[in-house]
Amino acid sequence: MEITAVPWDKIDIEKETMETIAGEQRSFAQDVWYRFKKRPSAVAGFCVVILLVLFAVFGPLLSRHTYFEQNLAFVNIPPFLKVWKIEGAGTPGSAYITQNLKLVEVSKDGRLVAPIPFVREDISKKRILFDYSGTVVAIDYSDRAQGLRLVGTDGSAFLTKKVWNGTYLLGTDSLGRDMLTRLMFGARISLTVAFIAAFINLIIGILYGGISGYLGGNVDNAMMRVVDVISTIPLTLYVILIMVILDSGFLSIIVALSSVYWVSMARVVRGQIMALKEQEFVLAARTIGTSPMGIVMRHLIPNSLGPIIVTATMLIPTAIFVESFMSFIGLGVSAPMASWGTMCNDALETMKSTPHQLFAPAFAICLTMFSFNFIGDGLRDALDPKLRK
Amino acid sequence: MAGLLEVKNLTTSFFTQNGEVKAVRDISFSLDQGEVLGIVGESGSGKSVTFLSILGLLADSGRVKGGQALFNGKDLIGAGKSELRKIRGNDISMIFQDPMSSLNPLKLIGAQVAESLEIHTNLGRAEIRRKAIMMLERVRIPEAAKRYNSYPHEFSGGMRQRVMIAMSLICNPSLVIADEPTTALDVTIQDQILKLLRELRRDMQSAIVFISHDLSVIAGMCQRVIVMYGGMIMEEASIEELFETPAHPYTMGLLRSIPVIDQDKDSMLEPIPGSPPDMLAPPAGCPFVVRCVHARSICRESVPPYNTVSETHRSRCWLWSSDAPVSGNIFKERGVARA
Amino acid sequence: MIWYIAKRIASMFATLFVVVLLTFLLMHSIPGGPFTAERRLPESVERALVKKYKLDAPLHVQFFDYVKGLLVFDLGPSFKYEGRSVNEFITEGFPLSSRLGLMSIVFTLFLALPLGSISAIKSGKWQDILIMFLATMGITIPSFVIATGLMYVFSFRLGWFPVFGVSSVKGYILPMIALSGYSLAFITRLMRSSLLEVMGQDYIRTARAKGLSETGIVLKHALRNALIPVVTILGPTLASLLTGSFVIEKIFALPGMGIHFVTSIANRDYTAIMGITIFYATILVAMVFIVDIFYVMIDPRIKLQ
Repeated sequence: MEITAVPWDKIDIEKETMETIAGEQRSFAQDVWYRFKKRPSAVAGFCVVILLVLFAVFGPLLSRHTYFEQNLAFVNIPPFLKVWKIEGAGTPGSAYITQNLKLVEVSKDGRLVAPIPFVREDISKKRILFDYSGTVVAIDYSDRAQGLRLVGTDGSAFLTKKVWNGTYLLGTDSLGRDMLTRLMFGARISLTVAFIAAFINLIIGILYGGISGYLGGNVDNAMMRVVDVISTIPLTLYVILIMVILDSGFLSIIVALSSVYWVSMARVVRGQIMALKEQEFVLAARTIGTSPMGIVMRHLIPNSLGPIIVTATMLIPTAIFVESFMSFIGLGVSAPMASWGTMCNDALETMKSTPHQLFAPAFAICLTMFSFNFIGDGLRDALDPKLRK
Repeated sequence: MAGLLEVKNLTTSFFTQNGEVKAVRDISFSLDQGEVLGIVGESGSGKSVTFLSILGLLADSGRVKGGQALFNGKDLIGAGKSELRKIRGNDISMIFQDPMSSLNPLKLIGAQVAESLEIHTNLGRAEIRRKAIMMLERVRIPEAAKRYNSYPHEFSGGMRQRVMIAMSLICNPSLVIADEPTTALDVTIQDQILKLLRELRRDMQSAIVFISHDLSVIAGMCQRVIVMYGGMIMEEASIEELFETPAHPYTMGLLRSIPVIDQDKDSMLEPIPGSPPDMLAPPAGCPFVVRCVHARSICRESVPPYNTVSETHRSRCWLWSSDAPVSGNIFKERGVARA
Repeated sequence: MIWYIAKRIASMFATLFVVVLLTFLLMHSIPGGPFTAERRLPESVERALVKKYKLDAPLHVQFFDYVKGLLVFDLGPSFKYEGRSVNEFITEGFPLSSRLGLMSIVFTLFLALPLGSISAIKSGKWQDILIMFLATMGITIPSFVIATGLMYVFSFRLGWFPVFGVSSVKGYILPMIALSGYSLAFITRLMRSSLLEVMGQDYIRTARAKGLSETGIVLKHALRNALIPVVTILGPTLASLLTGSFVIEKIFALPGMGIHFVTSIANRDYTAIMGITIFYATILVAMVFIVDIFYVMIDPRIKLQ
């Protein structure tokens, strides 16, 4: 602003300066993205989901193992190996004692090489003898307090060290299948189920809620009565019943999830439509002869998009949860396919001896649930600033 | 005259995501015992915030940045929370705008009226109840003893505002702040409530600050008026002076936008062009500059000082400055013409 | 009030009827299910089923028969276990499940209401951030993960609690915590947002203007109002506690109703699945009804027509 020499000059007020509303101008989408970005948890959740999708899509392609390939020589191997350094033999090396008392040769970088041939069991000495390239080594199980030890011919124990499992990064399950690859396949199943189920629920919910809300009156009453009855008892019960009928499997779980979880979406959509349809712009659209379908699709749905998107985002973790829940009670995808829930279920009984089999899928489920919830929270705040607390 | 409340250089801001909203900027005024002061201004001009600041009732994002508010000589801005609590509801009480939402929906009307007495006196239950019923009768609630046990949702808007008034007067405060008490009501109910307030004013010794955006409502209630705009006091005058010789272009604009019953059909109501300033980045000079038809370049650059018009009349308009030229100056030319 | 209760009871029965009808039809639609011809069952069970359900009779007769049974609380014989009735499963399992559920709801409310209130009052401070972080974990981590985690740490590693069974009170603690996890977190969050919302209301400002202390405001004006949304979701919470118990009972090997349900599913014991589902639904509908009545009692604004 220039300083005027004569401060008493009259100024012409221009209409434009009067009417401009100060403040930065942003489009709605930019505004949403701007507010979403401001929440680190939401952005972190978003990144994790992208990584998970990449993990699920490309992970199995890069893996040396498949989800169904069993290697009965290497069952229940943990991700961290306690290896015994065999010395005094022709070639020094390391070995790992498996849970079923077998001996596996382990290379220096932690790869599982091959089972070491079994010689015989010496019951009197409580030893199991193996032949490691000409040298006899033995698993000594005589001392309970010390646990299993690998001893040489002279009876002295070898030194131990902990190495990361180089062949199976997350260990193997009870059938000798690679946990990491199964986890990736589990991610495929869980995410696919979640996305498809959320999408179908979205469509059904929008149609049902849209029709109910738009038509109103008795139709609305009747349609909402149905929703009320459905939601009287927990939706998981229906899913269980439907799963029982359809028999467990990938498709059945999608069908089961899609058949009831739309009720929340239908309620949201109906509520939005009811509120919006009384507003002037809808009346205006009607007076210029827009068809009811046009009004719903072009005016009502776009204006209720915020809550719809948030509800849809929240449907995804719900679907993941229900899928894992179903798998956990034995109604999930059928073997040898893996979902995170079935993996948890499989690992439950041997939790004490092989906790890694439980922790990996449990962690994956938690991480995914966290991420989607954070995204949902972030979106809700970003789409509806009024709800901010 | 004994000063009851003296506000000096009060400045309050709200700290929001988008930055600092300067809601009240450097406000000073005083109020005498038993006086009725009107505060007028459009929404967002800082009327309510001024008094919420004084009472320590600002929302969490609001903060008083400076200034004093001496109530009976004691500064309320610097006062501790418990000291302030002893004054609130007892010496200074407030009537809020929306009687629909200002009453707790889950508590009995009577209990809400009696609550101030419970907080500030040591009276027994029966005595408190008796006084509360008496107060309800004074604000013309029919069958007060029976209505004592009603819930707010069983009352109409006007009745609820009567309850609010009863609530604010029950401890015999020396100052009542009525924040737009009739804005949320129907016009006919508005009249009844104003009538009630005028009657109560006669009987009670309380000073009243009457906040409104409606000059005609203020005209019927108050002796003195403060006009606020953009978080600042624009003009302060006795009610007669304000209507007869308004000394600020904004006040003149306000007066022109009031409908008068016997108005000529030809003379139109004139709205003030433009919209209120953005308080995130208020103009460096007079906040009204962008809407003012009499604006000079100095108005853009610096905030006008309080200029004295008469003993009871001051205006924050540059045109009243002693340096301001006479020619083309509506105020000074008017003075010349009258002389 | 009486009229309202009568109406609610009528709609409760209508809902239950629909649930029974749906379950019945679903079970009948199973290929190779209990009510179709191609079955390979022990002769005696076969006979019992045919006799019980009049399998040769038309569908609607069978249905009315089943409903008639329900009216005298007879859920019929088990489809898998000879000589066992579904009623037996329920009388065996329900006491333990209901005890666990009751403990969980008490535990949940005792923790969630104070935690949510603290979080709201200390909004934005470390207490709030900590509580909300824990609540987010509680909401996102599935109950079976919480249960297995608790079991691994406290039973296997630390040995503080028994791994299985409820021979002592100690045995209930881990299942109770695992079962409460979600509801605890959910109600804490709800209580927080509800109290925050109430604290922003005009009538709270009115109370402040009266000179009431912050503690007085929370206790006398805010808490009761903030509890209303919490009361409304108590019904669904009980539902989630009941259904959540399937996995909890499975993990902790507790002989409750949930485990009967899960084994019935694994065994494809259709009559048991059907009976237990209907039993669950009845309890839930009844709970929601009780909560609704309670809700009407605490909120004077609700008008009863």
